Amino acid sequence: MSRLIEDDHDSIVDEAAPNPLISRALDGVVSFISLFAHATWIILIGIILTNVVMRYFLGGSIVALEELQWHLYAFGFMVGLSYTLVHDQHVRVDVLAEHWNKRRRAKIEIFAMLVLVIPFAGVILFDSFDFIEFSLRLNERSRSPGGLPYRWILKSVIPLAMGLLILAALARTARMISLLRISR
Amino acid sequence: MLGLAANELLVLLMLVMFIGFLFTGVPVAWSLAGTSLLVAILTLQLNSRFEVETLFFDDWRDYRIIVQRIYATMENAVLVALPMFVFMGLMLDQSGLAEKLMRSFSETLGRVGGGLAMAVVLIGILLAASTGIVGASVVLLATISLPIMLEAGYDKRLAAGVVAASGTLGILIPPSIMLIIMADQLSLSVGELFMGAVVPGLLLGLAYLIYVVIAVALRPSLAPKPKNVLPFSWRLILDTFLAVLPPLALILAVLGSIFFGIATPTEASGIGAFGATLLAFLNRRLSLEVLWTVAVRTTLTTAFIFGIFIGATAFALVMRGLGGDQLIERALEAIPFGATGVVLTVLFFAFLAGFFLDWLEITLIFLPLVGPVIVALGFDPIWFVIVFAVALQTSFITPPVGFSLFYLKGAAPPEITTGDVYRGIVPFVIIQLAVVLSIVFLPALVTWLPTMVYG
Amino acid sequence: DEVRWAVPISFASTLTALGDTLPWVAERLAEVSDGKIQFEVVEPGAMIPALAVFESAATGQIEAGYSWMGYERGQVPASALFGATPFGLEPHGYVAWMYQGGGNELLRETFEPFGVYPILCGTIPPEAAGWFTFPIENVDQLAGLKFRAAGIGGEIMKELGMSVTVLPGGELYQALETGVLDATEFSLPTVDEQLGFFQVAKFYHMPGWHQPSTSQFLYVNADVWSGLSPQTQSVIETTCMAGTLYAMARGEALQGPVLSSFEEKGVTAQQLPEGVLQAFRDATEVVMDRESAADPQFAKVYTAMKEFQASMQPWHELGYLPRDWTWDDESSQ
Ligand code: NA
Ligand code: NA
Repeated sequence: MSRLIEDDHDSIVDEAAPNPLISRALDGVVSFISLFAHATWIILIGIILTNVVMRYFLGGSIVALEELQWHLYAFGFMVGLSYTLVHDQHVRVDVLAEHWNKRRRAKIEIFAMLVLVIPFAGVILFDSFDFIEFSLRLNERSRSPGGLPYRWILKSVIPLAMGLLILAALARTARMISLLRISR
Repeated sequence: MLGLAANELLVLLMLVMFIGFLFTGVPVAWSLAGTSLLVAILTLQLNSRFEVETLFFDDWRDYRIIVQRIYATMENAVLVALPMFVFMGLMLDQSGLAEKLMRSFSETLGRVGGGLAMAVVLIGILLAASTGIVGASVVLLATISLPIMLEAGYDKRLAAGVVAASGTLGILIPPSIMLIIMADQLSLSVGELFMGAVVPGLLLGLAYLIYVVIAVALRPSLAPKPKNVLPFSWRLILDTFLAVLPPLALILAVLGSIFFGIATPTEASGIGAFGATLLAFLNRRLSLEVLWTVAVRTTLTTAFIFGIFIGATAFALVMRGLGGDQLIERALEAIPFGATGVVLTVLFFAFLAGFFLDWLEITLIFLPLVGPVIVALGFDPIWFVIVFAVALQTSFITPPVGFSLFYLKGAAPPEITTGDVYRGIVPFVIIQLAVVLSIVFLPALVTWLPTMVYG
Repeated sequence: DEVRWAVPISFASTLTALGDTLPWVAERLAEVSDGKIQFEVVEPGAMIPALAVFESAATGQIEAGYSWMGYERGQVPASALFGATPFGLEPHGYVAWMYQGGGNELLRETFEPFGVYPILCGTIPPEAAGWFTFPIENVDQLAGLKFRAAGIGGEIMKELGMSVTVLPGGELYQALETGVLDATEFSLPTVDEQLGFFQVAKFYHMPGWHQPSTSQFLYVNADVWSGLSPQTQSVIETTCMAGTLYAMARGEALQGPVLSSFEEKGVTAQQLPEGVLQAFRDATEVVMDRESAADPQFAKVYTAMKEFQASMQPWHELGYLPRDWTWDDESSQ
């Protein structure tokens, strides 16, 4: 995985920057669950191929497997949101910011995490409970013939992803605070 | 104040706030999402405490709709193609074959000067015809071509510009998700729209090629020829041919499975991802480590694109609740010019909106408003949608909110700065506008092919 | 009352006779109430996703929304019957059941637990059986036929061994063109014409056995509804009744000319053979028994509907001219 780490250019913290225990622990949780997100893509290829072979060559089709495609994709990208934050790969416009010093950028980063990311993720997390409860109460299943049951499972990916996003944002906040401390 | 109602002032505040966050270097996704939340809170406070008129946004439940909108994205079966094409691109990169392709192009086309940039346009057109997922095309082109162009001493701006512009062709050249959604919005035939988009799409690609040739002829330092050009030999041609074969086979597999009815474009993405993996295996580059690395990077790339999707959907929801679209509608009604004047103004607004909004939001909000108006003026709906699509395509490459620019920045080596990207794209924006104008005044560019095919 | 709601719809308002009913109702409501009742019609996806209309009204995220009831099948199984019942009631029979035969009461009962007050607000004539890339001549062709169908009709086709898929709507056209699909169903001839399916599939089969009538409803949040004055409630319900008539009239008026125009476009429009229809009918019985066993409310509504259909039958047979009777019919002279 050398290539991966190499590409991972973080615009604010470099390798030498402090990484407090709390950040490493929270990042660890996010990274562990993200292992399943990475695996998703490989499984997804297999399922798509199966569906194509089923329909084109065998003349049958399994709606549940067709639906499984977007179930997997949804899990992958939603969980990926937090993993991408951990690796600071969310795209930013740094046309001005690249000329600023690290302290200033770290402060902006703390602001972004505490005022923008965590409240947004928190609101979505909180508001998703009713949404899932409704699905669970109605025992919602696919409206398509032979589709998948238990829609609440897929819907629960929303709070899971938002929870992980909050953890990742907290980890990054802690990291930025310790960066501010040592560079004082 | 300026004749604007409170809700309209809030719309303007949203724009200002978002651009503010954006330029302090806050990631695009969080700038959009955070702005939507802060403005929502402010709006509801103004509404409940000071009884300010805030149109359809007057209750917290209006914000909660975002949960359903996120779920609708999760449920969107067509978007499954996005991570698959990203996977294909990253695997192609790991397989060493794409690099080989770019290198052999540089050896043959390199003697013309600007050969690599031309190769990017050509590969861009091929990708456009197979994917239509702009994020994936830009990322793929950037990964395989930017390091090689930089190494060859290309001007960073030219390199960035040509990648962002060529990678955006896929939204227009069919198959195209944008045209599918537009057909759905205005109840038009997808097939006619696809046919109508072919000539303008190729015209754009051709214009990019011509631009590269002229720019490099005028300033050869933009794209230096490789230092030690190999003497011409048939061997070289053969090598190039052999290098082109595997990626070409892959593109053919993707396109072929679509055209021979084996798979839908969405499924073809999975076939492409598998095909790239197979090629890496045949080229003896595939290992468990490579497979896993590609999977991990697919997560990173896919998630940054969807982060922006989620931010944009939250932003558009609040903006719409505050009557942002009515503001546009009112402005349109105030246009005094004749029929062509109205079309040009609509296109100009679409272009302007494209600086800040993403094509999906513009298509969903703006197109249903203006489409019927234009058709009522007696214009061909197919022609109008295509002109509108080309104008919207420009939104991908206009700063500050240009999705192709974000994708490019996300995938480019660190030495390419946002400033390089912004400056490099300017000529391509101008070309794009020229093409829009030529379609406006030469409608046959759009209408000829659908008439030939469907009568 | 002053009512000002943003009302999302689940079919684009540009779809003739399918999507343009609620905009018409909204206009009428404003006129009838002298501007006191304002529905701002919101296109699908512009605010809430097209398929989330019912859920949003139930959970109070919107006051009201407008949708085809078949979409709620995964959440409220019995809703499928109100949306469109295979081999069920035709438009005039359907409104007879709804307004005079106890249908409306069953509807209210079905949705009461979910905090939604549904109002019938648009019924259209049968949708076509589908666009096929080759003609269907016998039952044997059905096995393995690659067909895109959503909802309960799809369950029945699966029962007959058809290869039913649920490709997203936007991919249908190309899938037909390239042969990923052999056939798809979509909607009325007017709508199908707008979407251009005739360009890629030349055999248009009818009748719409799976949807002899198709109904859309205004879903109003129950709390919001009970908070309205009786007068406002009455204005909305009565205008929706007019909307139902408007949709029936419009749907009926426009199909003939469009159907004739298909011929010039090289489309063969014809009915499915008797045997094929019979096979669908038999499979329908199996599927309906299964669905009834799985959900008591489904069983209750389906039984009531079938009983009403049977009770209408004698009148239907005797009271009307035979369906194939025409002014110039040789056999009737
Ligand atoms: Na494309
Ligand atoms: Na833009």
